[in-house]
Amino acid sequence: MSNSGRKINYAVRPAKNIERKMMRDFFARLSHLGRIEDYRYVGFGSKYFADFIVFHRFLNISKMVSIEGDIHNKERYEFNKPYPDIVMEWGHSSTVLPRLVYSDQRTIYWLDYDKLFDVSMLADTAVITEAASSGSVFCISFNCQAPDFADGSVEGLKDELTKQVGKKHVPSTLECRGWKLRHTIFLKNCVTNEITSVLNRRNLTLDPTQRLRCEQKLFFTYADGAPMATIAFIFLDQEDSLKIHDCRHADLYFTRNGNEAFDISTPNLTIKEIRHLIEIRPDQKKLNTKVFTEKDADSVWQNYRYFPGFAEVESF
Amino acid sequence: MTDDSSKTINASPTKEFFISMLTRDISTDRAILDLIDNSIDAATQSNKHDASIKLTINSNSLIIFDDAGGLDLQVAKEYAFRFGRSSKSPLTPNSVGQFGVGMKRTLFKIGQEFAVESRKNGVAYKVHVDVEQWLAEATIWDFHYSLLEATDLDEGQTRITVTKIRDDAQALLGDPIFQNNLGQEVSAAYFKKINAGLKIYINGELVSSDDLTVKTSQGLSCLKKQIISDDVLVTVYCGVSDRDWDEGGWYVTCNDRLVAQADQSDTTGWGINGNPKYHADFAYFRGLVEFSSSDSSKLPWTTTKTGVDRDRKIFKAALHHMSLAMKPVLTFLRDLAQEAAAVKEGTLKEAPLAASIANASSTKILVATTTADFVRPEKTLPPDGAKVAYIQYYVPIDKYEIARSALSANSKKEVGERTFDYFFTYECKK
Repeated sequence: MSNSGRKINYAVRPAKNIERKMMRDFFARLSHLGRIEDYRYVGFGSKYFADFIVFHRFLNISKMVSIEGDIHNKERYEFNKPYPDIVMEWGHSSTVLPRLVYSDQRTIYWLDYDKLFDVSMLADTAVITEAASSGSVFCISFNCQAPDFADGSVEGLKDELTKQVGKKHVPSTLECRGWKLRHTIFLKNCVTNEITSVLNRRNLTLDPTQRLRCEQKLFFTYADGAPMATIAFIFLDQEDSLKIHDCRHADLYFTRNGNEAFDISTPNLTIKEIRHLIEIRPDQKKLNTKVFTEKDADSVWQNYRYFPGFAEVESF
Repeated sequence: MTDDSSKTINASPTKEFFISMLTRDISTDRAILDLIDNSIDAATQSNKHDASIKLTINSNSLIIFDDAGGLDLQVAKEYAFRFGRSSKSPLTPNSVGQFGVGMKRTLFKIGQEFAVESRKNGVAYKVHVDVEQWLAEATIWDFHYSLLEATDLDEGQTRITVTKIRDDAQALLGDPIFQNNLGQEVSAAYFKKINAGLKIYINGELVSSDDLTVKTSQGLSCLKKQIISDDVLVTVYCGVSDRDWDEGGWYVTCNDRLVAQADQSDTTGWGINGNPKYHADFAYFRGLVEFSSSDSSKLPWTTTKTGVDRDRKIFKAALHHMSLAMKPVLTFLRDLAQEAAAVKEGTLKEAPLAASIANASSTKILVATTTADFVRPEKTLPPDGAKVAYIQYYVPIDKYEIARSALSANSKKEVGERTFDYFFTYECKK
């Protein structure tokens, strides 16, 4: 969406880089539901189109739509499009999405917001849920920083949450203690509840075979400067519900269908250090503890296949 | 000592309690609409689309007279005067009366005495009730009727006369403002029936239909979609009309009777399902959702017909389709607001969206040409680099006049722009 605030190329944010590749592998397994090449991708490409490049290159998705709110620099975004087929849709997601969600087109939606969670994200969630087809995937990323609330009181917390997610999502009883640790789960559940509520109404006029349910498949947390979370859901009718098991998403060690997030940890290491850690993996005895902590090594080893190898390339 | 061998406790309702509960949650104007509903049902039953209903009200009496087909004596004896609809009572297909309380509730709410006269199938009769006398007899709930040898009623006519008007209703019924409001409510509530030929008179004045209109042209349409669920046909219309805060919103009819007018709440989808809350930009929005069923018990109306029962499954199902239908229209109206802002700040010269509304013709929504998808003109985006800042400040009026004169400017806007340009030319690095 609005990219004016994005100062850093997403391609070089390490956790984001890892996340993108994990999502690529997750999407690749959707081929058991239907040809992945026939999926459409709708995202916020920004000026870098990092996600568009990965999903086109590795998944061969060619129907791609980028939503862009920065309508005063259209030429620049058009110039940066890596593929001419990418369709730019100008405007904020809330105004653009309603005409992009069709029930007859399997789509991967990734609303990759770079801002604090707010109630407009729940509105976008509802817009997609209202019309998404079976087999479509809805991913949402947001800054999950917990709010500071006045005096640490329940009322202060309720006020802040009401501002963030709207009154209907705030429970009448809340426990403030430990809220910061639970805030991301709270936000995830707000998204889940919004989906459930919209689907319940949508299903009322559908035949039993067409009725949709929604499964959470991914729940990432990471920090590229700000605390971020990504959740992915898939919409399934009766037929796709039977096929989804063939996708064997659970074989991917990072999938999560509950409240426990998969945290993408990216220690601050040099390229040489990362390469060394991958070479000695998984031998703890070879770890030079004067250079590395065990935690750093675990972080690299856990995601070594996805770990980015950044290097500066003098191309001009 | 009393004989308590039966070990029973009397829990039957008193008539006073029953009447007070029955009449408390409905306003007088809405209660009068219930009487009109009865006449309309009679017309529906006898397939008489051009029936006329004449309402005469003043502070001493209320009379409703119709030629809608009449009330059969047998039906009156067995069903029509029962409090609440009996499961054995014959269904009136597509009726607007549903709960079996409307007529009685109105009569008890407004007066202490009433008479219902009707002539059908050659039989004319009169039911006369003096409420005080009826209340005095605690256990007998029956009313009495008499056959009329001589009557001024023709076949198919019915007259209800309410007298000994209650104190609170007396002031209202004689109040010209109340009578005007009643006319407006009748005009809105029965707009479809009036369009179909029904004539309603209030104190001799024919009530016209208060139609919902939309603006349509080749480039701007009114969307229409239909679904059938649980024997209820739901028809959804969405479009734009003139900007009017009070008129914008959703209109809901059940079997052609308007039960919600210009609803701007979450009941009809505002602020939920990803839709924005109602606000000034959406004052152009008009939506109509019609629920029709031969079995009126399946319709999502409240007993007072002053709103929808949002918890009914059929309404929830319709809400999903209403929400889908309103989205493209709201997107158009958001684009329209952005276009107006861009024109105001000078970054857009043309306003195709505003022009599409201005150039469209106003049509009654029920006869408008409709499309399955909302047709609208494409928005025009401001050119790149056209981002502007809006500056507002105050200066003493005498200084402003001196500056305006020195600039030979005609407006405050021009003074502001030219003084800024002057400063920018001489004092700023470009």
